[in-house]
Amino acid sequence: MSTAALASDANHAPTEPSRFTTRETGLLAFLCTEGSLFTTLIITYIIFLGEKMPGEIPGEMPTPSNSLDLGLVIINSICLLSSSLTIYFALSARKRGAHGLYLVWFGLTILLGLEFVVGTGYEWYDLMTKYHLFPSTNTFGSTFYLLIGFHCLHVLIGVVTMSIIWAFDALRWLTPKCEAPEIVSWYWHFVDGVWVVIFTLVYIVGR
Amino acid sequence: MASIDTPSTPKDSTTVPLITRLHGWVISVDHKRIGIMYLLMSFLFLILGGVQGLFIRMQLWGPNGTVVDADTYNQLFTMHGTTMIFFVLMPMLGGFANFVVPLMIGARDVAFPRLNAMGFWLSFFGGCVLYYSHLGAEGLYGAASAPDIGWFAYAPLTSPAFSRGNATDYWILGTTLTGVGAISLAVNMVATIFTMRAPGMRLTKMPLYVLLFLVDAILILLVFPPFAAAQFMLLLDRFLGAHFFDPQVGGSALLWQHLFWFFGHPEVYILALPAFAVISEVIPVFSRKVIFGYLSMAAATIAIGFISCGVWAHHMFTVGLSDTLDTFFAGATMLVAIPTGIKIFNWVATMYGGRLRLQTPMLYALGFLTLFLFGGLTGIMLASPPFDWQASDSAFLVGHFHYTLVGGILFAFLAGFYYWYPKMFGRMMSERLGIIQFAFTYIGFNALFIPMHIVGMLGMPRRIYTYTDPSWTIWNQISTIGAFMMAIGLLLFLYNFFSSLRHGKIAGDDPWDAWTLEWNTTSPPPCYNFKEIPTVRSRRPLWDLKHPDDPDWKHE
Ligand SMILES: [Cu+2]
Repeated sequence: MSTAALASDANHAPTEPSRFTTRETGLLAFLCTEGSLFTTLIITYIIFLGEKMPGEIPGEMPTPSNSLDLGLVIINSICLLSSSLTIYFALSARKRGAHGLYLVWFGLTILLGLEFVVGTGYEWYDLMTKYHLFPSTNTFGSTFYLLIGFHCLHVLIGVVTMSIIWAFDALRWLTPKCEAPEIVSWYWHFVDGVWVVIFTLVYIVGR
Repeated sequence: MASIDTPSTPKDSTTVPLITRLHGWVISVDHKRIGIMYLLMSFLFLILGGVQGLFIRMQLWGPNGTVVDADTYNQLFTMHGTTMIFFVLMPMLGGFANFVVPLMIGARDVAFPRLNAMGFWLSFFGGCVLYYSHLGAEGLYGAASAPDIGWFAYAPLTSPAFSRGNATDYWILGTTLTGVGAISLAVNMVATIFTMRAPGMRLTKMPLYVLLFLVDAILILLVFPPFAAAQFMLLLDRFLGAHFFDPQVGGSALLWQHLFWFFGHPEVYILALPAFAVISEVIPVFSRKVIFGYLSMAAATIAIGFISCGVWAHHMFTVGLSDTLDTFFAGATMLVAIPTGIKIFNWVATMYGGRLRLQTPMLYALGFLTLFLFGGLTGIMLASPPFDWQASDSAFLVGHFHYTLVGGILFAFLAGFYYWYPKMFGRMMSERLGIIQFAFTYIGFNALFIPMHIVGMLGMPRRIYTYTDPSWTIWNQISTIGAFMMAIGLLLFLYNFFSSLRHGKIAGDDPWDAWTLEWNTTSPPPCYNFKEIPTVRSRRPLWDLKHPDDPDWKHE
């Protein structure tokens, strides 16, 4: 039996137009997994929020309210959230074919992301030296470093990926049709969105 | 897509040196080869896990057994459980997903072939990491050489104080790696099934097999990350002194159980849905009837996916949750029986009035039906907390879940092996050996696990390395004899599998007179799968082709 007969037999069968391309669908599936991961981490943070050690004297141990500084975190957050805007500008420039402008906005996104990673590094350095907060200090330390660390790792992965795409695009190795910049921007918006939740929980509600 | 159409010249396998051919497999990104490699991986670990099971059974032959000591026994049941779940059944799932799904939807490969290859090699590497603990786990302490924490690794057994050396770390890393492999498989399946179906194959016109694997992939995406997160917390506990699971410093040992079983229960359904998928193909083809109640099957599948995410604490009745929680989780668990019952009803109704062909795939499918029904019924018993408090830590429970995991899932996969083997290799597996193997496996299986229910009711706990009560002896001896019968059955299967590669009957393209697209290409399929991407109009495109006078799309 031949496939040709099967195909010609039913030439007018309706097809379903797919809303997303294959790569976009793959990324959305991946983001589902990421969403599940962060949900678990956030729930874990909530479970241990305010948990005391047996026999702990109040004020003796670092807690969210006596050790978390808002100043640096707000600067970091502004950088990260505005990078969502810059990557949006970058992509619309790319769609218009303004290659130079695109590279500038995209490069700015990478720098803002990098600021967030470095800023988090400074925050952690302060927490460890000034407040002696380590993962082993108490459950606040354990859950704080786990949640912020996992998010920061995602920012770092985004920065590295975007840098590679930026370099490839600067060398004009990617065709204008290449979906990579668009797809990495979806990932980036996701990471930013997660930060809004984490910031609200850790630095506002939980403090 | 004319450029892909030119067939590569088939090389005579005798002229190409073996090392080149093996290298070709290692670097392959072809979904069919990766699928077959997944299946071969599952065979390797099936032998390892099977031998561990046999040692457990020999130790329990009589009271005060001395085949292994208590520590070794703990390692044996830990490795047996971990191996069978993560490195036997999961790779079988990966193999059947990879080989069959793209062919069935008329695609030339999966969405991301290189990611697919990475997923396979990560899974395999995970297995190697787990087994490396036998060599490298002594660490500085000279402690246990294999993980001895049970496959669910309850805290505080895994804390640095109780689990010295590095065996537990190899367990964590091995299972996490294979989890990442499973996630890349799932991403691939979702993208492939959503965007690469043949023209005309709407979501509602997919064969049930494809639909079940889609729901399966979504479940994998949702429940593996919490497990990975829990594993990561455990690593922090063990290496950085964090306190997630350490109640003495404000942590919670119960949190591990919640996170583990939030993964662990749906995992059972992640393994069961592919089994249902195989059965939903085999039973219609060998009953010569269209599947009964396609839509209710689809709805039941999605319902199972949803409900299975809300029942995890039925594994935790014995820790003493509140009555409210117990009631909720008992109720939710019993709900699962409804969609599962619908499925069993539909399979039976498909057979009713059909012209049954009792060839090997159908034999195993019938075996699946009886055994899975039995396992499901004891599952409903265990869903009731008062009964569970009595039976949860007894051999009864061991018997129950082996009926679902082995009697249900492994038998369905065996049906799948006999069914798709001709498509994979172009030859049939021996029918005669298949029937002998069925007799050994089926009788051996029941002899192995029915006595466990009885001896569990008599009070024999699970996970004990020996016992003194002589009244348990006879049941344990029947179990052990059954275990060896089953081992013979599975060895016969492996022999059949490998010897049929050379000596099997030439199969032809469509040996079972089946209805889905994979039978519309050559056996084995060329690397590009289809010369021309077929257009489909119904759920049984090959039926339409074979019966142009009465095509399915007029009735659907
Ligand atoms: Cu369960």
